[in-house]
Amino acid sequence: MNNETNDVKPNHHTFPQALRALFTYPEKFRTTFQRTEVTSINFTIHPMVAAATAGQNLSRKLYVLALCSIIAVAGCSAASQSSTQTTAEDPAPIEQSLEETESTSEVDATDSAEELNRLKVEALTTYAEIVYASYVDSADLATKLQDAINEFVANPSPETHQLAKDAWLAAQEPYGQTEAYRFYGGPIDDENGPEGLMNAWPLDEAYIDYVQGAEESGIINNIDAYPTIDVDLLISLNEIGSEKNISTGYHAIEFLLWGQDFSDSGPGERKYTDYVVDGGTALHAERRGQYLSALAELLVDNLNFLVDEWASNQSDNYRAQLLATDPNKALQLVLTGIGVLSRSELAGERMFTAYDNQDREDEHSCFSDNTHRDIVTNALGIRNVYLGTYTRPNGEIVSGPSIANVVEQLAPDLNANMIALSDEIMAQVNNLSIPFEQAIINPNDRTAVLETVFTLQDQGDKIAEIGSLFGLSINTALPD
Amino acid sequence: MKRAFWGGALILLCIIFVATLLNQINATVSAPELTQVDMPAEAEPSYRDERIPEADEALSAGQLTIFNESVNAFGQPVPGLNRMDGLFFFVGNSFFNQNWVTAPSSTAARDGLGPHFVARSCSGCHLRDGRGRPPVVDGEKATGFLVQLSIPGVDALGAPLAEPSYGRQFQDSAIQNVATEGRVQISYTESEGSFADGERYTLRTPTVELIDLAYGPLAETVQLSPRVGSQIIGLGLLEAISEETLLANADPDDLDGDGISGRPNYVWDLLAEEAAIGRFGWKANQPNLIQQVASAFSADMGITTELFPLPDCTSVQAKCLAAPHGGAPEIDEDDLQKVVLYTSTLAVPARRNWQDQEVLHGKQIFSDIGCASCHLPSITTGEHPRFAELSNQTIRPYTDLLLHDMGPGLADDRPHFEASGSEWRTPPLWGIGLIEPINKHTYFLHDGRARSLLEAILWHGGEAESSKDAVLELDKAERNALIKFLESL
Repeated sequence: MNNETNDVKPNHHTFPQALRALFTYPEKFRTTFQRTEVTSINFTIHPMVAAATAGQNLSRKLYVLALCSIIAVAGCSAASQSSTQTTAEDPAPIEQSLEETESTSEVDATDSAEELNRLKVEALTTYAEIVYASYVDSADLATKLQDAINEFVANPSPETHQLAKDAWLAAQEPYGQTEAYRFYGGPIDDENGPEGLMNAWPLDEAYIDYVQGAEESGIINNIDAYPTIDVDLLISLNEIGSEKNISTGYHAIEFLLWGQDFSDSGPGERKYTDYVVDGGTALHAERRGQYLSALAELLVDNLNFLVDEWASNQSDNYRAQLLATDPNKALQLVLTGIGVLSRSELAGERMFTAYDNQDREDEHSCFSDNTHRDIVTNALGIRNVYLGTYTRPNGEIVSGPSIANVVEQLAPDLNANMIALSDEIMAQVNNLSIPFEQAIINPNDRTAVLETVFTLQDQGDKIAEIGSLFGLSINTALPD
Repeated sequence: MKRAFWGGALILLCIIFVATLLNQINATVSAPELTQVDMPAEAEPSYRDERIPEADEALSAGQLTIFNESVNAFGQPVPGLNRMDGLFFFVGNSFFNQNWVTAPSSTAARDGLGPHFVARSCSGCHLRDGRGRPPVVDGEKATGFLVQLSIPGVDALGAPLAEPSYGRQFQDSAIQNVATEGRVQISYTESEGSFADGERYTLRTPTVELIDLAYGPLAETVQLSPRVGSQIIGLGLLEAISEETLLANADPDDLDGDGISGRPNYVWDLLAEEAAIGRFGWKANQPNLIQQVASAFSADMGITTELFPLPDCTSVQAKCLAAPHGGAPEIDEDDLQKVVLYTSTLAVPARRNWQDQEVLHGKQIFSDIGCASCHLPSITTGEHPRFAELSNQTIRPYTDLLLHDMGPGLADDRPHFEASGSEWRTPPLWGIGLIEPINKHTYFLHDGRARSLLEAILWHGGEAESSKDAVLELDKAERNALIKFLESL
């Protein structure tokens, strides 16, 4: 009997304590089971175990314990194997039970889940703020564009012409950044969304106005079929059959201000005198002015609609609905928007197609040669959403807790990668040769375009990876 | 003593570790396998028991299947395309989806629409890469529905002769200053019938008329063939099926006496300048994708290609002939190849609910009553000349791609190469269950006359008459099961 260690007097009346004694105080093992008779313990040891552990040999006791463990573990294997089989079609229950066990563990885990949720909600609120601000700015600059256009139409001159063009270029800056909010059926492009009326491409030029080789084409010159030109006419034209013909929006305004681009190195050179009613350079100047004015009016209407959908003081607009949705579902939409824009629309549809075609005018803002700004503002829009910050035309910054902050909490390396990609893209897009129509043709400049395409695609993949982090499956392919 | 203790503890830990590992391996191995349903002891079936799901039968395109049930399920690229092909897919997508515009235009790569056309873009008829439909509202110019024209006889290549004033296809749109050929008007005659259990059904027979004709009357012997645009998934895979495989399924003289006499349609391959087996189009009238795509550009949008360099203007359509064109050809060869790439590499979405008991029951019925004789449950592709990804895949398009006589009810009375007026190619059924969520309609068959899958079945005649008769004998539960099976495809 070995009682030499008196400082510890194990109380072995409970099984866990006995187990703890087994592993913590090996020297005490013999003591424990020698001192305690089976009947005085508050639980029943299997007689075999009692018999096996009654002896002096410590190693043997361990081997017996090992044997019991094997049997137990084998039993567990068999049990979970059969449960795996029966739930082969539906693994959720297993995951659920895992979640339950996890949540019943330390309180800290629950707290951090709540904390994460709070960060997500904050990031989504910042998103809504940025979307709202950028649409407000777009609507504001579209209204200024409308004013400049009305002034130009009323008093066509080189000065008013230039002011109208400048206003158009300025209006593109905030709008280009809003393209990051497309591709998930938000207000801009759900079934009734106005995107097709606002920014669709390519433009059917001859459908609207004269073109080189067809001097009397277009609605403007067709006074018989279209005696009145106004907003209602424009809307009705876009609802012919189920196929929309593109005759409104930013690029229609662009076409009417700049005209077709026949120059290798500059934009279109439509004369302001196309709008001079008596003695001008083109037929139907007055109707042309009416068409242009109606286009601006329709654009402002469309943008005001979007502003309303994202305003913060409404209870049933899209913003309210989005912020009331499960944060993960909302994040899925937000990430889809920037993921698709990055990987598919901007990289593939716009930049690579133009690069591949090497067709000078297969670019979005072909009349004004402003495509390089479209590319920069599109890329910036993606960055805004991720970093939770947007710089308004007046320099004011709208920002708040961001998706980046959330990702930083969960996977700082992933966040760093994403930010690095975004930095690289902004450097690349700001470095593209101007105008874009030349960048896609000149051998020296083409490489930069292709590399930007690749980086944008990598960014799209990274966004999908971020989605996975939240347990979301983000499809970055282009919806038709 | 201590050493013995630690040694024992180490052994214990190893054993637990190994046991856990084995458990994990077991779990991974057994999870994806399906549960074998233990069938009650019955007499040994002489046919394959379709109620037991096959592993992988949800994979309609083998390893190229994608898992997507959204409205964009038809528009995804096959997995595994390399980076450049993935980017070319975008170029093709762009030319497929974006509107063509009137020439001349600044966007010279996109102009040349018309002068006569049916749609402004491929997606106009194949919206979201899916299926078109006939007009449903009076005066609607339905996109996705067109009428081919001909007069009796064939040209030097064996193709139907074009109608003299309106060409080989009726086009109800035109660019400005060119008169549209006219309008399509469809009226329907309803007929009634009943299943053996007494439930009634109606079918509608369309009468297609071309009215408000701008270029004089149609020839008296004119033949009309109305056709809707089909879903365009998996076409590259279909193209990869070898001619040997197609012919192996053919039985033109019904030598095996099963009532089915599928036969190939030998058509003309313009590029190879020789006869070839057709496999695309409602009458298997196109031998390969490039010809199908180029032909559609020409007839449906008025876009010329190297294969079809002339605008579809007849000699009486003066303004059409005089109208500016968008270059020669209006879509250059390189961009055409990208559209072909796009249509070749659209992925096929996996089946849904394929392990449902009701679906499996329907699958059993599908096989029992002979549907699978023409709508073959699986087929293996050969070598694809361009995309190795498409080669040697076991796919499940539910078609033999052969011509079958479907009886007088479905006939358009317009032969097409070797297809008679009552023969049609077995259309692929993959994706058919997604037409409703994607294209928001349920119009089936070549002219969209069937308003549901059940109606489509009831139109089956000719070689399929006995199968249709068997459907009439099914009870309600069996009919529902059959439809559920089709909806899973």
